[in-house]
Amino acid sequence: MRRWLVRPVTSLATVVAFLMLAALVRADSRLMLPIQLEAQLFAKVLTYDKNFPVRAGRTARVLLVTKRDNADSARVASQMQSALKPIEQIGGLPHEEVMVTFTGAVQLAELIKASGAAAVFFGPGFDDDVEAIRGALEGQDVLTAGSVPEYVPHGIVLGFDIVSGSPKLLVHLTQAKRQNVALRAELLRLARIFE
Amino acid sequence: MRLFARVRPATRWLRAAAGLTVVALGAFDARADEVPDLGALLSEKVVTTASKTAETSGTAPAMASLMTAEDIQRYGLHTIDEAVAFLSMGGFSSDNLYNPEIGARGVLLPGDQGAHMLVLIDGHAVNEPLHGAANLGRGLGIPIELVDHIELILGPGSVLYGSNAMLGVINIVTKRGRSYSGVHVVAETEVAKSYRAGAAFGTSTKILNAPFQMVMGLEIFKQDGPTFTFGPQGPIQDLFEPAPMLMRFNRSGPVNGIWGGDASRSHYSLVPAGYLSLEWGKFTLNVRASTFKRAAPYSSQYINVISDFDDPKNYQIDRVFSGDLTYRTQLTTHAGFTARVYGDSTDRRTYTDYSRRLACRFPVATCREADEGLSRWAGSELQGSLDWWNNGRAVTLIGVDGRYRYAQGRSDLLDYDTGRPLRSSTAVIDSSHPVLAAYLQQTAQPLTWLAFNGGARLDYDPRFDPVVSPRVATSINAWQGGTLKATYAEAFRAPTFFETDAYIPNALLMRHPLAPERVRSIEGSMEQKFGRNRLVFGVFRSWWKDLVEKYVFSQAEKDDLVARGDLAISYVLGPVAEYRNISSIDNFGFNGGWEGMTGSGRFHYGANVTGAIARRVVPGSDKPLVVAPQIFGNARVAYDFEHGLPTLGLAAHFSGSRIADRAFDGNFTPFPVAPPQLELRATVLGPVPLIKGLSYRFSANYAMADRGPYVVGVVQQSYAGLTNAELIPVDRFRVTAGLSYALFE
Repeated sequence: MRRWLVRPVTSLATVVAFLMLAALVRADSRLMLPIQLEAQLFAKVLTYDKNFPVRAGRTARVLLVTKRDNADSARVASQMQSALKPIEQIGGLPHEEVMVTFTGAVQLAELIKASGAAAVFFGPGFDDDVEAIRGALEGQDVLTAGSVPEYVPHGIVLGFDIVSGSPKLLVHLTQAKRQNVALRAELLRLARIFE
Repeated sequence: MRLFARVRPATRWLRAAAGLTVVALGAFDARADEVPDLGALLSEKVVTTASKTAETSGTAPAMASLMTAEDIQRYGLHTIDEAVAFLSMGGFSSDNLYNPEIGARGVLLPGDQGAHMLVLIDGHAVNEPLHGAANLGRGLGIPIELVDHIELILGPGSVLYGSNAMLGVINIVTKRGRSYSGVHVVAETEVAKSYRAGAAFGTSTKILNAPFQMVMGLEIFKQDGPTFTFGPQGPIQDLFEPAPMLMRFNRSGPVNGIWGGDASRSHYSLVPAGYLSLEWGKFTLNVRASTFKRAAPYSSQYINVISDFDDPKNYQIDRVFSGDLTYRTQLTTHAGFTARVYGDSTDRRTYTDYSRRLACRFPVATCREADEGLSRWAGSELQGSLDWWNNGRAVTLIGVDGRYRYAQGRSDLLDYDTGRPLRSSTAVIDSSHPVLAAYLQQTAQPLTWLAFNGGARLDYDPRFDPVVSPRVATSINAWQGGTLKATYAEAFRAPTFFETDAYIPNALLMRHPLAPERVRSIEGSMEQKFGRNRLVFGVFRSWWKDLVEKYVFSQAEKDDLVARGDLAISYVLGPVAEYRNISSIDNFGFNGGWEGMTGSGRFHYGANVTGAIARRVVPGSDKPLVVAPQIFGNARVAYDFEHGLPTLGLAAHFSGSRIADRAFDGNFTPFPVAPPQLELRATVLGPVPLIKGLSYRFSANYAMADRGPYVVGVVQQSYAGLTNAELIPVDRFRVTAGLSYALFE
């Protein structure tokens, strides 16, 4: 190869390799709690939200949000739906789950308002959207939960992690207050708190 | 009429049974849907090792024991073998003052260097192929603060992992950056015996919009002592010495045929180590590097076999470097894919000095034996998973693993003073070959209370016929908080390169091909959860066969070897051996355990007990296993005062009497048995007042018995009036003090 070509070709190859790596890295498939355990925790934690019965009414509606073109997101949402189904009550109420596709934080906020959803669950794939979701849901009356622990420091109210081989609850307390979620002190004692 | 009379009661029983079954099934189904209280849910143990997926210990297809970082801290533990001894159910360790040995369910094979327990670090297999060795003491090379938890899966585990998983699988899972962020510094000392200093760094952030986590730790451990007093054993004769024909156990000093004295210079170890774990989006990278140098203050059947006494230049050093890169992705909502590439390099050098002429046979003051071994392997594992209905209730896992292994080894005999070789290298190993495997696992949960797990793995190694390792397991969530489980599993251990390839003329022959060791096991267990408590009871039975051992030729056989030209006549009086598939083990027993905490989470407790009978069987002989206890267990309590006040922990492990390793072939009187052992460890830890981030940990350890189950010294067999076996001493009392400092958490 001619010498004057070597440098630009090398640079181009480096950029292409970097972009390919970035594309490979982007979506994630991290170790999570067994989905049935996560569903049971989710159902149980809602009973510790003092405002949940008022917010939910007679039937607790839960939105399971999926990210378009993200197989992992769809997988977790679908598994969560199956895992919640046999649980008779969540937050002490009968419940129904609705799968929705994420189109934007503002649209999601409108959908929550329109549907009267009491809780929203996010699977993987929302790392880039959590900040926007937090902003859009401020002042709304809804509990947000995510299967990815990294969501919580950025504004999802409730998260689940595995530490020392056991489940760990993560709670964003500031955002909880902004979304009218009032978690009991006995739950907060068991959770890792972010503010 | 008669026919009816016979049939009716049977029909009635059948109807009654059917009715009960329907009621029971209904009850199971209803109970399975009830959500336990929050404390119970948060106390669930999640394991990933048994079926390569996250699942609760109750549904895992094997009996699983999980040891957490909190418990390791709370009870003043420093190493994996200590965690197994003080916390696990079914596992135990045996300290030989050199490199602890691990056993399970009443089976321990002394001198196996850990080859019958598969050890994983973050899923990466550690056992090297030259000796099958895996260090689980200080020599592991993982700073203990980096350990998030340890999973011990009891019973055969080759179905997903291949060779070595005969006793079980130990998976050491390290911490993630998000739960160990900041800079962490630790300094610790076992007063007057050892010190350890380490630093670790953890972070969690985003790079290119993908989550990034990293934990990296470095540490150095140095131990010197304690001094033990051995013997005196002797006088021992040496026919090759001039009058008075007594054996020499030191380069200098009187030649009096006496072995023993104070071993003040030869009980030490040095372990610099580092570990890096990095997660970036779909990629995970783990890198480990360590060196482990150690010396034992005695000689025995397996360690320093013919060495001089208290010579600090008798030592062994291991160097390890390994890397593992994993890529995980979800291809569709139903299908996931994992690709892994890995590579390891381990080398081991062992130096033994001996001045006894009978052993050396060269006209030099001291012979120095230098044994060197190197093994390297690299490979790739591809794994796919298919969730048939995308609800986790029917998942197929399929994988292939291919690696290329390479081993070298040799043994040289040198003149200690000049370094000049005294003979050609022996035990020369220069071997390489591929190892291939494929595995399949199917899980199914047809009902909320019923789960199945079945699978098999096929391993190909050119040294023997392909091996199939199946496993089938079922678990039934029988009532609220109660799980019944039954498992059948098989496992194998491929002979090591040393066993198949080492040849020492006139000493270690190599005339028979070796088959892999096999074990099959059946077990049943019951787990009951109530609140934050977990009660487990299980029974097991296992059958081992084709165990590889050194076969020592009889005098008649040696004469025959001389006649055939396989043995030089000048060695006909010395020991001559070869590795063969010799023995079987019949093993059965029970495990029981209870662990939990109070509702506030401040008071922790646990206890485990195992009773096991294990007998070594060879044609015409059936004897209990040596070194392994028939009853053993542990217990612990801890209370966390919180609010800046300390946590107090008290842990104990105990074992019944243990038959010494040379008991059956040493002809000793009295029959050598180590007494029952009870080891207690009290720990206090907490934050240092007024200095944020600084914390302390003090512990004191006391062992009731002063002897362990290894015969030490030159008298390894009853000899010329020396009929007593000297058992290995125990380091009975240790006090440990440590400080740790966390910054930027």
